[in-house]
Amino acid sequence: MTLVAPSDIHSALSSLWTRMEATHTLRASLFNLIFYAEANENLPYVRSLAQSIVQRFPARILFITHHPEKAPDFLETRISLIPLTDNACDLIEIDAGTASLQKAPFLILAHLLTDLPIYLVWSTNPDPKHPLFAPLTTLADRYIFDSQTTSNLPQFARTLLSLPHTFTDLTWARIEDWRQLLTATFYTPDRLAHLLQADKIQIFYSNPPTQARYLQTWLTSQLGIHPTFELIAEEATPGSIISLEISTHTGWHFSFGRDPKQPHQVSMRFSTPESCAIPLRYLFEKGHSIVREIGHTRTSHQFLQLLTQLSHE
Amino acid sequence: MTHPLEEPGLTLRLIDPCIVVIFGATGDLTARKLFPALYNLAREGQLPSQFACVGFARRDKTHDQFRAEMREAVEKYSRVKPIEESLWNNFKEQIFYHKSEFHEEEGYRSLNQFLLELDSRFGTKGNRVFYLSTQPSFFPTICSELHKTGLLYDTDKIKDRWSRIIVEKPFGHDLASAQALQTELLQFLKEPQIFRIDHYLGKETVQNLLVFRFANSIFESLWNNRYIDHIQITVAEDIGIGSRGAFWEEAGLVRDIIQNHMMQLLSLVAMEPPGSLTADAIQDEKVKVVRSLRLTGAVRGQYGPGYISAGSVPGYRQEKNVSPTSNVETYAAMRLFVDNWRWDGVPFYLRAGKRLPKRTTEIAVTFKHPPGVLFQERDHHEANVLAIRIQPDEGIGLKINCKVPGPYSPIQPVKMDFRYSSFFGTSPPEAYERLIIDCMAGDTTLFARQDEVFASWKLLTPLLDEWARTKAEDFPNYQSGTWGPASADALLAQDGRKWRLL
Repeated sequence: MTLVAPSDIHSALSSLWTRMEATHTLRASLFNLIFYAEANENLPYVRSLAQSIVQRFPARILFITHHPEKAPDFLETRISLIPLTDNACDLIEIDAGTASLQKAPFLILAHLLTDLPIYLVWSTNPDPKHPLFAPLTTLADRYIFDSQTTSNLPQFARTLLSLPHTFTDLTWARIEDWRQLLTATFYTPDRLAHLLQADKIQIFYSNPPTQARYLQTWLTSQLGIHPTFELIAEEATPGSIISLEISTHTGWHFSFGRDPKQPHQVSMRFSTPESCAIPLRYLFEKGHSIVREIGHTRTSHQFLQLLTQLSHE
Repeated sequence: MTHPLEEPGLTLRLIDPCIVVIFGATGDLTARKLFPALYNLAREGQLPSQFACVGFARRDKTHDQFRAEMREAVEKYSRVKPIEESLWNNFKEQIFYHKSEFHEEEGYRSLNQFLLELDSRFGTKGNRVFYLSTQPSFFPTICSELHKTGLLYDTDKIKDRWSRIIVEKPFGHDLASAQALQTELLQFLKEPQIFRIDHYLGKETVQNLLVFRFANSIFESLWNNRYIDHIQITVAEDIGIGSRGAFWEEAGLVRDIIQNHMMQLLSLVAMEPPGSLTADAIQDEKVKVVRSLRLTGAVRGQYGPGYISAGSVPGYRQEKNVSPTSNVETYAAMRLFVDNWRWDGVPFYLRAGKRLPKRTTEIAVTFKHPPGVLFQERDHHEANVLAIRIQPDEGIGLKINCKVPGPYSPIQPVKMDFRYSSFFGTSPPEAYERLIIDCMAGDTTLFARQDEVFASWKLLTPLLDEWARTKAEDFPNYQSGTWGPASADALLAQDGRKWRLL
């Protein structure tokens, strides 16, 4: 991590790459990935998210961190390379106090890689009045929000629906595995018929409840059913859905639960009033859904329906 | 008939001995570009062995003082550093200074005498290049005085030596003034003796346009309205007008950039294959393009205060020697059509500006979308773009769509990239190196011919007149450090297109 003057970012990166020539490391970039984050307890997670994305899809990262605790005119810029398996990618960091934040879009404009898509990860509550919100969303081909950072989901939904439909949400991506699991389980007409007769659905989650509420809203918006939902908080990885219990009017019961030791494995137990099926095992993909969701350019129709329903709450 | 010793296909450059006289030798261009170019030509052994250079200016100066100043300039601005001592020590012995006012006949008589002395000392055989690195208003005066003292040779009568002039842009400030200037110059010279420099033509990447287009069948076969959706040409600078306020208030961006540099780029991109690689054959095709241009929309802009590299910068109207109510444009964007068979219906969008986010010049050819039968459901994929980067990071990039590895994965645009620096290593010669040596060799291919200049002024003069007549009420209309005014975005939005984000 090298501290450089804003005017030297380009030349310092070039020098860094010149020094890397001997190692035959390739400079890789599939897209520009702009992060906006606040310097708070969520920052390490946002940084790890950036790392996990570029491990799969190398990108030039332009990471803006707002430091409200520092002097308003505070501004520092740093450059570094993120090493990957056979290559590496650029990281440009902009740390700014509140007054200096307005300079960040100008710096970003000067350091975008031409002809590659621009994705924006807005890791705090989306606020159209935020001084960076309009400049950065105007710039980006796709915006990625994180509803786990909001305490007001209906307002969050209304804000997203007012934007061009080229956004996604990390929480929507996080529940992709659950969505796929339920779609696969109830894919046949007879199984779907049982789900449509559900009278009680329990979702066990660890706080915050955003993923659980998304899953609930997704089911109701797609199926048009209104069973009794119970969202029950437990201790586990923050924010995740731990297990799911579905009971139907006809006495069928579907149970899905993550293995506590291997959370990407889900055991599934189905029973009827007469019988009990052998437990099955389903494997979640390891973090690929978030990366895949980022790569799509249009907002999922199902996600728009979910947001519409949330926005009326 | 081919010379028996000349190998076919091997370009032979015959450069006569000569003296280069630089008018305006104490100016910025001489220090920043001309002497570093001459030094690098000497370093690469491209100058004729019988060579000398004389700086002509109004200030009092000795030869040694001038040499010391030029050494400092070369140390600062040469593309190759550090300076080679042994080379410089030889080179400086060929550099001289001559003090005179531009209008003083006596100064030209003594110059003539001095050049004759240098001829006998260096064997330069009476050949002269007069580089007019001065304000254009001095061109006729200098040529008249050179003519009076016999320094400009009548090409009909004198065959054993030659004299040429290089003139810097702008050549006139509109069609009428360009024609008047040409008429004046033709009193003293013939057209083949006039070398109108446009340094863009000396850039390797610009010269490569012809090779790229006409030596690669895969591109030329797509180079028409059947496959190309539109073309964008951008000349962006992050610097402001600096100390050139007085000049800029007279000129503005269209005169400084679009009328010359961008018209050259456009004509090279759009021209038909020439019958040969002679100067006239190439220029004939280029001028046909400029004559076929139709301007269908233009917007102007002027920068206000903003941020460059996170530092605050003043607006144009706050710059030195600029009127606080100036109506002069520092940004212009326009839509043009080339009315010929090949380009029917294909818009060419040009934009250029000062105080934009970065310094970059490129030509981007956007191809039409493939039929929307496949791959449309989840992913809207982007059109192919061939981007020819003129500066910096010279090269050519092709944007193509690619499947991201993995099941159910989306389509992602990726870029194939050719970089000059990666393939050819060392930094390419500066444009001025090539152009000076071409003038010495009498090759006008990379210089603007009079009809090209006139055609360009003919196209743009009505627009300039209109802009001069009407006050731009919204000036300043873009912040420094942004990509220009909203009206420029609207110009493309009317056509359902967007400017490229560079």
